[in-house]
Amino acid sequence: MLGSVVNCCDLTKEYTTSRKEPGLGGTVKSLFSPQRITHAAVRDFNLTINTGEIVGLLGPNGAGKTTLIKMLTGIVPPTKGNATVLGFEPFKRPREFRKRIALVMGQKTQLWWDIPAFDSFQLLQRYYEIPDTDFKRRVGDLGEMLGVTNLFHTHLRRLSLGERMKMELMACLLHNPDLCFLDEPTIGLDIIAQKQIRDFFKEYQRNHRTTIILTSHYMADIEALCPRIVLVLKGQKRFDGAIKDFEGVLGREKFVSLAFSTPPDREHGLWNDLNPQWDNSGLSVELQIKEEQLREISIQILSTFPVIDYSTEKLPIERVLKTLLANPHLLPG
Amino acid sequence: MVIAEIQKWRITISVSMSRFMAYKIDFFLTLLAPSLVFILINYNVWRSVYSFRNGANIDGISMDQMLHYQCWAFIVTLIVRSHRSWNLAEDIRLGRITSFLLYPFEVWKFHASEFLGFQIIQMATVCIALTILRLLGLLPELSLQALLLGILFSLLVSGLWFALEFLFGVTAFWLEETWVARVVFQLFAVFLSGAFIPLELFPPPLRDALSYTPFPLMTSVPANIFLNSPNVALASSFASLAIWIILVALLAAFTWKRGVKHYTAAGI
Repeated sequence: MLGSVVNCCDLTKEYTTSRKEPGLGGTVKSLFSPQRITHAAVRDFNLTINTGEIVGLLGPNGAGKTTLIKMLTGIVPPTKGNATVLGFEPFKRPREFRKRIALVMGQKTQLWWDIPAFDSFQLLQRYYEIPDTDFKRRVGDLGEMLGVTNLFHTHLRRLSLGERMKMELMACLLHNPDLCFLDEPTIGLDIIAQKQIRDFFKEYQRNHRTTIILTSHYMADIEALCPRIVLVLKGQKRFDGAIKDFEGVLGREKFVSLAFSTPPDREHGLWNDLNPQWDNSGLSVELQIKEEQLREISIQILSTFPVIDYSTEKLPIERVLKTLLANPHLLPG
Repeated sequence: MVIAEIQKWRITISVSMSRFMAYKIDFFLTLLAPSLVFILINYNVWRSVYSFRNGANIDGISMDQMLHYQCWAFIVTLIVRSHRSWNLAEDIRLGRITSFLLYPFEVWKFHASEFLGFQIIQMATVCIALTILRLLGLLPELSLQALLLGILFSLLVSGLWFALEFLFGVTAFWLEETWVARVVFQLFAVFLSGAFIPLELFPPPLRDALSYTPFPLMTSVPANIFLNSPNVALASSFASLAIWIILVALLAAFTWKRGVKHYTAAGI
């Protein structure tokens, strides 16, 4: 039985902000009678994560994913509810707790801009009290895995975004954390760098069994790394389960692409209920077909229209998410 | 445990110094510019003031005494104003303290060691300024004991400024932008400390009132220690400075503890 690393019960975070009406008049008015608004960024959130799990937090901007991470790392206190992370209350921020977690922020650099990354690593070595031999070994291993050993002594400001992110990852993993929070670790990176970072985490997690909580807007990150996903909408948990179950939330459907030699009749009754997405030329279409009807409908289409290309795949998770964001009532519960 | 803590301070001081020296021209200007600005502006202003009065004393202060006081007030300013290199309020508002809340090395310790790093560099600036002023014949009397005591006192004053800046910075947890209040306080403090005009020229009631505040300790007292003035009560000055440092530091620590609950970690 695996022990739980994260346990939160009815975790809620409310923020009070002031609303300003537009224009100069609104600015003056808000100086004297500010309109305060309290809104819950996270509401009654329950979550348990076990040792060694990789969990993807999904949701649109402003859904509350990052606020949840801020509470679990102890950066902000919850308004109500409670959480234990690695057996500690995060917001008390005991030193032992801080030594065992790491947070990678894709949108914010944690390393020092004006000095080479290696100088920052040495600083972190002392902060986390990493013995010299372990430090040398980890710097060597991580540098090699990420292919950045030759850049250690270059000033951080002279590195590319991808190189900087790799240094950030190194900095966060130097102390061998038990729990790692990755907040948009691939944001802004090109697809090659994104894949390198995904591959790195796959291998790193396989070797270290680190528990990872990942938020990303790139579904490729989630699909590649997270067997389990948690969907957050308007501060609430709306789905928590295996990624394969999430793919099936909208029913077991296949995603079918067809190309035709001449434009087929779009008004034909065969297309009904298949959610056809035609391209501008009318020569290709994407359909959603229930798994159990796939064979029968495919035969009908192939025998009725001049099909020159046919491909099928399960409904991409990105499309599932997009559909659920537009129609949250489709979610179970 | 203690050794590990010392190593954290040492490496932060060393990295901070590397950062301050990362931009060469900026660094050399940091070393040289204060002396040049002082000689070109402050020193010449006071010379002109006295020349308009045909060299007559101002409230019993001769031109030489005034220029010596200004030179030492300048040296004190160089030592005590190292806190200007950082802005905690901005760090809080822009969410830059997030990483430091996660490191097993507290935010105030990081800032304090960064401040010490800058202070070490600033001492090089002080040495250059002292050399230039001495070569120009502006510091004819120099007692080693007064010099060491003055430097020690000024370093403690810089500690007081650090605690004050920390206290001001922490208010950003509630007020977000504290720049104006901070600058207004700094201007008042600098003026009331005697950095521009010796406190001897202030009206006696104001001088008496100021004696209950830390302001005279911030420039006037250390400048007079450098001048080897017999009017300075050394022991009580050191004692009251220590009390002010402890009071402000305790208040800053208390405010931090309350304020950090309001932190929103903007930007992530």
